Amino acid sequence: MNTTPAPAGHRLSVNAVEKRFGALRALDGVSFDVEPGTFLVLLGPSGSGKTTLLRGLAGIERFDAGTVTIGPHVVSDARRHVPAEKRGLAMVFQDYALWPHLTVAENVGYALRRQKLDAREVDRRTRETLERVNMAEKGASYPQELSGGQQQRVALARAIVARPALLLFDEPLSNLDAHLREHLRVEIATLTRETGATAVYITHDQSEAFALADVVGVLNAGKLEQFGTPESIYSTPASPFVARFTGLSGTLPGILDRRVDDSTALIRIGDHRIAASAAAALNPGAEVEVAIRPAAPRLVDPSAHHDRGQSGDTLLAGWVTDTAYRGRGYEHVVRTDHGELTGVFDTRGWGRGAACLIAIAPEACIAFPRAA
Amino acid sequence: MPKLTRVAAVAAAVIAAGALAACSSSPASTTSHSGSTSKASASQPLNLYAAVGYDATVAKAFTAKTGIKVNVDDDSTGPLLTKITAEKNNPQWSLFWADGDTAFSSLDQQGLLASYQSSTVSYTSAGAALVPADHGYSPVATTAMAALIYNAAKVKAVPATYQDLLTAPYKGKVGMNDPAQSGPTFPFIAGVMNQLGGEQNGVKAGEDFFTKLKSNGLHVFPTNGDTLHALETGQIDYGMIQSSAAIGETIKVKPTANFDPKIVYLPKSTLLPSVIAIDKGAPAAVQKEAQQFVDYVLSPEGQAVMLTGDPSGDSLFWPIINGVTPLSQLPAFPSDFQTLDPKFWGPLEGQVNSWFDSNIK
Amino acid sequence: MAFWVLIIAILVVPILLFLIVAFSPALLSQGTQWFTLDAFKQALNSQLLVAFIDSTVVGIVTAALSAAIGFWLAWTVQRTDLPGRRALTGIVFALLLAPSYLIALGWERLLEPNGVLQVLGIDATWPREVMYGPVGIVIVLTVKGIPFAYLAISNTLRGLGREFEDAVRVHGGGRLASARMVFTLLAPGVWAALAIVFAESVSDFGVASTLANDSHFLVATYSLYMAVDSFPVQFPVAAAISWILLLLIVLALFAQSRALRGRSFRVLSGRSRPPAREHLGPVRATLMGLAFVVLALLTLGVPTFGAVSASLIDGLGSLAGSHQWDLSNYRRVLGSPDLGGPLVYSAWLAAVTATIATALATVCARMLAARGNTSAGRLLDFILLGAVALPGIVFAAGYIFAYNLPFWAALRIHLYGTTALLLFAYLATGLPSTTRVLVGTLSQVQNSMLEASRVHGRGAAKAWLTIVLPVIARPLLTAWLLTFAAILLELPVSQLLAPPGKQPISVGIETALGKYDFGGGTAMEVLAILFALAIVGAAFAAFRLLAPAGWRVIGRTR
Repeated sequence: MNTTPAPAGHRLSVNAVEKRFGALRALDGVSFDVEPGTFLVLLGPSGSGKTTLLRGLAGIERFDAGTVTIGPHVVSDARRHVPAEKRGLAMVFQDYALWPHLTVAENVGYALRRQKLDAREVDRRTRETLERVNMAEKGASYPQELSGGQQQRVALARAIVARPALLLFDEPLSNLDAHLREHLRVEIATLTRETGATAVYITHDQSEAFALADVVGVLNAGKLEQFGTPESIYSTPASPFVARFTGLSGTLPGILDRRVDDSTALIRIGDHRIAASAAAALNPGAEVEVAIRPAAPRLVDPSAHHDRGQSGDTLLAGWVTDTAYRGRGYEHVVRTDHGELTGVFDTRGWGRGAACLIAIAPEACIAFPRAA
Repeated sequence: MPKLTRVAAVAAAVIAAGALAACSSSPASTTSHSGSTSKASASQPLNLYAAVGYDATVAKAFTAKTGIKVNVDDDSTGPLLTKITAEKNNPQWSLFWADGDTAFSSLDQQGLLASYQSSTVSYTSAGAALVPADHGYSPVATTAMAALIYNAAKVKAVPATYQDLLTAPYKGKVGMNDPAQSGPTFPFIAGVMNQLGGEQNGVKAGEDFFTKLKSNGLHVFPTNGDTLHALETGQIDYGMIQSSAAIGETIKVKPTANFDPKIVYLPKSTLLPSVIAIDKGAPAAVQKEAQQFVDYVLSPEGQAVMLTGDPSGDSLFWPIINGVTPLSQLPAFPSDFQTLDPKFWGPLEGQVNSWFDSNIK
Repeated sequence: MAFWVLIIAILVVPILLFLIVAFSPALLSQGTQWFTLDAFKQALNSQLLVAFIDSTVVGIVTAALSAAIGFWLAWTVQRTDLPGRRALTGIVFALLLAPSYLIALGWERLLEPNGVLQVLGIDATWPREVMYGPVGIVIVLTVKGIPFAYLAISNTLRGLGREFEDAVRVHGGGRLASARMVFTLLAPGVWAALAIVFAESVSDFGVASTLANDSHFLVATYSLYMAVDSFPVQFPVAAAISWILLLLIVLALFAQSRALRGRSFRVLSGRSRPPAREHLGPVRATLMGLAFVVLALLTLGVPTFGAVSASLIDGLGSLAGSHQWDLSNYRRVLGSPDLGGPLVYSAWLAAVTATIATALATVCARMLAARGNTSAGRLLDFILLGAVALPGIVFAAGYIFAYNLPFWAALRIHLYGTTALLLFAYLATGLPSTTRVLVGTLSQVQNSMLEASRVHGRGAAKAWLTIVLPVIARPLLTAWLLTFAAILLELPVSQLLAPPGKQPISVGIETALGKYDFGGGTAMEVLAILFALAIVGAAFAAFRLLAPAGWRVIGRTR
């Protein structure tokens, strides 16, 4: 029965879970549902509760309140706490947690041996899985003889070998260098989808999150701030926090001048006016903060333009304070009278100190009510 | 060795050296047994290795009298003999004082003991019989082995001879000590062997006796104390132990309906003398002082101090010096006693003990 | 260099000189022959073979039991929320201090004919037959072995982060599987515990001679004690048997190195996640609690009972009859010159010994923990364990041989008969077990922590003091206390090496017991143990109050 092909992933349902550590509310009423086979990334800064949530899902920590359902089974509620080993899942740890006294093959085959498969079958599947992570020739090595990237591949193999219905990832790429990280990210994405498992992956890196996820949940201070597709989170962040955490060039303070339609408004920033998406509840005169995605600002040569940043213009005046070559072009830091924008892209490099005008595309600007 | 380890090792060595320097100086400056240090300035301290209950008391009195400092190493006989043997190539002791003359005889035959005949001592006839021909050591007092202590509240039968113990009334009721763990027990076994077989016929008759005793249900306990405990708890009703221990028990225990210890001496009792000897390797000046110490313990004055040192234990000895009165609780000296020739029986100790261990215990 | 000079001076020379006597008695005036094999011929007989098999079996069983119980205790104290678990550490130190004589005495008083059980109307025949033999020996030695096993294992467990267990659990392993994984990861600590308990067991004589006195269960040390502790003293025979004891240790070390295959698991680093305590439900908590109560009763209750029966009841501890329960023995010894002075003397020596031994043991443990198992490390391992396997009396005699040689006098160095030499010998006695207790911890320390400090500009020694010391502060404290407690009541070395005129407390106690003053001797012993326990308690309290916060977080759980 254990030799049947990969089972489909389980549906994961989390309802109002809470976890306190003394006075600290690490998780404060988090709820979400994940469809079978979906890759969920929980995104949040350190201290947001994402690790606690993941460990609670794994069964390593016990939630103080709330319900967790994996597939047909309630694994955690007020009375019940199904131990980790009975939840039919697997996990990739941040610092690998490979058992140092077992060889690579023994580490990977561990879950299979727990299932009492016969030795030949364990061997076969272990070898097959190691091949899939390109570690076939390292089966007899011990973990400490491997590089960090290799260790993480072994950890990945160990997690997928038994074809769990739910796969958990605890910031698996955070200890790796940039090149390896990208490489392994692709492997995680493809291997996980091949197994068909439902995956929950936590990270504090938004680009990693967007690249991997079918669905993203953004956690802040123990609360789930937004839950949705990467696209919806990027285009309509639910809060300034989500906007900031999913990538901004900068924020500029302003006052809502007038509404254009239900989703768009003109915002006055100093003497300038720019368009931005704004929630329908925001009325003219409201003090707002305009979150500007890196894609929004565009540098304009003042000499080639008539407005020269005069009042009422849609172009902001500023000057370049830093220029960084990024291969495909240059990213600039631009200072304006109202705030600083970073990561402003142009295919040509502007010299430091150069005066410039900034055009801002309305579709990548979001106005939020300014905090009091 | 990595540099770090070296640094740590040096640090540890420095600490060790410092601590050692601090305490090497201490034995000279602080000594617990010195009565009056002012008089001691001219003399060298004596190292007294002793296993008798009154040793420290006597040493203190001696120091008070003569000003000669005495460092007492008060321990059991076994460890002291181990120590003396290990020191053989460079002895550090000045005097050795313990019960039982067999070990002393052996040390004497190895040439470790200085011959000394006190000019002031006046032995009783029993005492004189214990003095070795070469005066390698001096008997100081004596106890007897064995005293048969029994619970008069429980049993009426009182044996008159060792042979009586082989009969039905005593089946399973008799206990004794293990010679491997109790020093005074080998002289008792040797005494029985001496009495039954003598030096001509050796150990055989004695072995037969103990074998029969065993088939009559003999119990073996480690030491005097354990045998007494077995008597008190009713595991045995008759115990063969050292006289001082038995007498001490009768003094300490008030008779009750269940327990009323009484003592009988079976013929023959073997004398177990307390013996003192001087180290032959000690410097002449130290030997001179040691001789003063021997004279002192053999004098009525020294004997009087011995009687105060351990009144419910080792002080319950029979004097072998004329003019010394034993403690009032002490019963009369056993009338039918023998002395063993330590030169003959001493060397048999190992053989007899291991025979006992594999056949009787 | 200084390190090896010290090791050679305090361990190698005395042991070697003792062992040489087996071949060359004349060298140290222990006979007339300069080279002979007579001692071996005398020692090696058919009985000795039986004795060695007995000793080996007792050693292995005792080591395995002690390690299993020690692991269970350490796990419970550090990884569960069992109420009252803190008391278990106290129990362990009490066990360490409980003299095997009191443990054996307690069992005897309970089980003997007309003993307590029988007075209570319980038939003690069957348990008596079991206890007064090999089973009894193993039980008593296990009780003595538990503290070593517990300390060695718990110091290692303290440094083990939670992630390896979590990894087991999420990959389908249950509680048992994760405990087994931890056990394996703690292998260096576990093997250190096994080795030390094995060595202690094969060198024991006291327990075998009391509990199995008349069951004829021969252990290897029997002939050795017969050779040195009864007259005539035959050091050559004792030395010949010592050679064979060392052979056992070689076998033990071989087993250890085979099992570890030179690997140690460096898991103690800044990244370790503090382990969470496992919540025990009421049922499991009750069962565990009961198990500990039973364990405490068997291990501590029995010797306590022995002490009570011997010291509170006048006479020789018989319960039947009219004996009064009172404190007269305590009143008597409290005023006795045999207690106060000797206790202070011993406490002072034990404190100095513990301090130096802990420092030295840290160096030794570092070498033993060194990656790749250097030959220097292996040699050190053998020397240290060999020293444990040789009974204390042999060791002390070796000291006399080595430091009473006439040529020292020619050099105007007088070591024998001084407190200094006693201290050296204590140091050598304490060093092996102190090292074993620390080796698990030091094999966990990742060098990167040290390297990190050094690249940030600290010198080697300073780096060690500021980085590694805080991390291992608590294990060092337990090692210090272990050594202090063990040395305070150490007997054989004290007997042979205490300078005349100075009496360590243990010698005073032994002398009192030897003169069948059970009451006084036991009362002194109880007071000395209470004193040591007070020191242990005070030290832990002081550590809690005074140590910098950072020192205390290692091994702390959420």
